[in-house]
Amino acid sequence: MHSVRVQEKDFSVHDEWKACRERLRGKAGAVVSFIGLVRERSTTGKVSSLYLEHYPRMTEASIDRIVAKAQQRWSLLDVIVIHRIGELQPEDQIVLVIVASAHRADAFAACEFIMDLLKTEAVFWKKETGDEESVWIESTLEDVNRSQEWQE
Amino acid sequence: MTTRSITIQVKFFASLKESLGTSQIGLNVPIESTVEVLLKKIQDTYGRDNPLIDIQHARVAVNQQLAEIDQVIRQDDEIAIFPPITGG
Repeated sequence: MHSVRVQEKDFSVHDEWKACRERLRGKAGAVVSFIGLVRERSTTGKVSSLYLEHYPRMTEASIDRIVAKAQQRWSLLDVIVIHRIGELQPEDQIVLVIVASAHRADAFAACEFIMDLLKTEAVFWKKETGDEESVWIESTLEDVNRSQEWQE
Repeated sequence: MTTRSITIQVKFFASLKESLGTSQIGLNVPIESTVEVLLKKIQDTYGRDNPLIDIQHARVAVNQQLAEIDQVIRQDDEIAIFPPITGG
């Protein structure tokens, strides 16, 4: 069971968690969630806004593949990924990952794995606007390294 | 003998879309053209020395799957060209 959504509008962690719990109905022993926020500072300085562009359907398919990899690797009962696009401000919610499993080890590992791969394999382009200019940003070496560690 | 050509629609994303000033163009390419031929055509169209158009590092997707440069393009394929992805 899994659900992937790419949307401009904000999400409610409470609503998603409630819907997840209703679907699970006593089967899960662990639910791990991750919420990503827009930082007010990046390596290039102050961030006044962050713009995320996607390629409709290809982006969703790229996230589906990440979730499928996680489902092959761990025993998961439910996975929810919501990723926002468009213009975001510092402090805004940008991504939600919820992973449910019978035992906590699977949910913890799969949630981190999905998040690490979202940073390198999900089809998004990001543009940061600071005080003076807007810059399309590249994947950081740390993100690439974290993603590669899962392949070893 | 004339070479038959096909018209294809090419989508652009992110910095490439900005540099080219358009999200989609229609191009005529010879039938059985590869991705490599298409990229050369785009370079010729927009200027080979235009520093804003980083075709060398661009990725090409055909029907939403990343394509190699020797892939042949068909009339109804959905073609997209974009810079390396930066992830979520």
